[in-house]
Amino acid sequence: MKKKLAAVLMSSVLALSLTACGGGETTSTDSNGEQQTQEVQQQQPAEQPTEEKAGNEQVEITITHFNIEEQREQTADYDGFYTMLEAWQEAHPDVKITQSVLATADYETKIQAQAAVGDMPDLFCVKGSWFKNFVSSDLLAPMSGAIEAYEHKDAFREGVFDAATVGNEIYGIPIQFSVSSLVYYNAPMWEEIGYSEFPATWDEIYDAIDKFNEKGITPFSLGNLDKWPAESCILSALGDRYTGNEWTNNIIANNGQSSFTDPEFVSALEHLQNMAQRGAFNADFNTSPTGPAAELYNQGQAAATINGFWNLANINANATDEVKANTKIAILPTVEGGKGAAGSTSGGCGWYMGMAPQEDPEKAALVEDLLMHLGGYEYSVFLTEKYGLVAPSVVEGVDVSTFPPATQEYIKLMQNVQLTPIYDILMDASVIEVMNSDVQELMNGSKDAQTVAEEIQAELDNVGK
Amino acid sequence: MRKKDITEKTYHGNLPAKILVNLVLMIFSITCIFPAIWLFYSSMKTKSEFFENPVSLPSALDFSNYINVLQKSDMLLWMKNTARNTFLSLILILLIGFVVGYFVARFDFKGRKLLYAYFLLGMLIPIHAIMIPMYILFTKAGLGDSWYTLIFPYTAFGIPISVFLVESYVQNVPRELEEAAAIDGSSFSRTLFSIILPVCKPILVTIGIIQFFALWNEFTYSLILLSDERLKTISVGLTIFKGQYSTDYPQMMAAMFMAILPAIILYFTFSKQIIKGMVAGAVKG
Repeated sequence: MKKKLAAVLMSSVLALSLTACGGGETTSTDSNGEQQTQEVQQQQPAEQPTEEKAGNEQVEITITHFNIEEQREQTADYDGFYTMLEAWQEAHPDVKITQSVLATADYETKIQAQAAVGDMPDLFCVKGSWFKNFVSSDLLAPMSGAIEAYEHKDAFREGVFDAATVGNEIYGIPIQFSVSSLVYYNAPMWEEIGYSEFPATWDEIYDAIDKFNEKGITPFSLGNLDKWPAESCILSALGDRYTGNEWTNNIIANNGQSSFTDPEFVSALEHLQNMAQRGAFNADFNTSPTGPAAELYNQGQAAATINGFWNLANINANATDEVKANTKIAILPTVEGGKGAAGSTSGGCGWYMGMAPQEDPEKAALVEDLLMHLGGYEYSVFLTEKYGLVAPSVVEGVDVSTFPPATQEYIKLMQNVQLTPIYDILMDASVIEVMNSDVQELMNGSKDAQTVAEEIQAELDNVGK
Repeated sequence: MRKKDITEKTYHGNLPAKILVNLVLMIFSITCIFPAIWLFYSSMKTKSEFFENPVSLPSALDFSNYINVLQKSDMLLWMKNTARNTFLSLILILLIGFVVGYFVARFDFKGRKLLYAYFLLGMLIPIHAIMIPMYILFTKAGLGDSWYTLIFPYTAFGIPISVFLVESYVQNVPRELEEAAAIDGSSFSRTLFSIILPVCKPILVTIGIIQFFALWNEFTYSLILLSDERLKTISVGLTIFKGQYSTDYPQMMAAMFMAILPAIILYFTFSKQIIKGMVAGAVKG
């Protein structure tokens, strides 16, 4: 009897597994990982009969990225990406482009899992701080040659390739030019408490914080749930005010000449903690996501917000008309005795697009061409002309008068601002991980500045080993 | 008799105590029901309306968020994918779980305890610990990125709990049932599927429901193992409504409401059996 049952079971399992396998039109029999991916790709046109198949050997390019099409209207870089992609596709109708799109945080999880296996799509987004690891695992193809041959190579802004350079080779094309620390402030609200302009000293800022709190208005809105905002948007700029540029570059190079425990950096941490304790931010700043925090400002419930350039598009799209018209943009004031240059803020290229090493030279040329198009001069022209953004390439002669008032403010401000490194783009990813978590605790008051500095330094030492 | 006494006492007890008990229960119910209701009516609001007052009722019945979701995203495709994955995995989980659970409960063979412990261990593995190894395994084996990909991990992770529940349930089914069937000449497989299976219905419904919710909402494997846009499941699909820097909450809520709708419908259809099954699980398990 037992035998019979076993037979029934076995056959049912077998039948199920057969149906499971039978559905896939081409199940790979190859042990070679590369070929498997290609086979999976070829499956797609077969399943979509409406898709035209031009020629026998259709080249397929796979892209994994975070430019969500549904968010295209609200996000300048996403719009830029799709506009460039569509134009390229039109010029190359015989190439099939397969995209895999995920929200940024999920994208990071997924691509790092893929990186662990070495199974990369042809093109993918790379964070500045990932390059060292990715290059050492042979996941990225060098781009220096393509850049050298690019007709608009001189238009690229100075320093945009810094994060993507490993050794003497460049491995990525910038797709986002980030200014991570800008103070968006509601001018009439500040006027009401006696500041016709954004304060130029920290004493005045603290005075304003007290006054706003008395009135029940949030001075600065901040959504630090994801841990990076306080570090990227505030500490990156504030830290430089204390330590100066050279210190940051020493840390990035990890050459042992600077340390997180240097008194300047500890002072910067103390300053940040002080801000949090004085009530500079919304009470729930450490548990609020970025979205609702930005909305506090957009709805006129906060007097200012310290945020990146990306918040500009957010304000233009979502703020009340009043806030839109009243928004002015400034940078954080200098600190007394600090080494950082006045009139500078943190900025640079945050995300790049990189290309996986290709075996087929013909396809390699094609993918390279697409990549140069996605992050090249036309992309910058589009971002600058349509959105008034400061893009990876310098685009001159743009008429700014048609832009929303906040955008015009931004363009005006950026003409005189120097950029300093953004911590989370250029420092080692694991150091940033520690810094982000520790800064959150610092602002909560559960750790003091010295401890935080020591812990970050310990991680830096660890990385250097 | 004692049981009846207690019930009667509660019914005729003093008023303040009754109110207190009901109040506590009501508060608990509201904390569970309100989010769903809030989700529903917030999805009718416009973005600015939502941020002005997140809890207020919408000013008008406005379904434009739903229309937007359907037009802009592949919501229906994601639902279809998720429904297929869930349905096929559920069948496997119930079938294998039932048979294995029954065997472990009824037969005394060498390594029985070991086998049982082995399945129980499966419940202890945190999903994130094996995320990367699973990805490597699936990619190298050529099993990634297909319509059947998710059925493997779903089934594998569903079996332990189902073996555990079936095992303890069958322990309490009288052996006389099978003995009577054997005397009447029923074959083993007939006894298993025509006699034991119907007896186990409450526990199988319980397993089905628990697993349905788990599978319908499963995120990690869908994210890691699938890249093809046309295979996307609903949990991963929903994340695209969350922008990098700003989120259109009412629209996201419209999408979420659509996502939980099948679960709600399922719940109301089977509510009686679910309650029965849950009790069966609670007492016997």
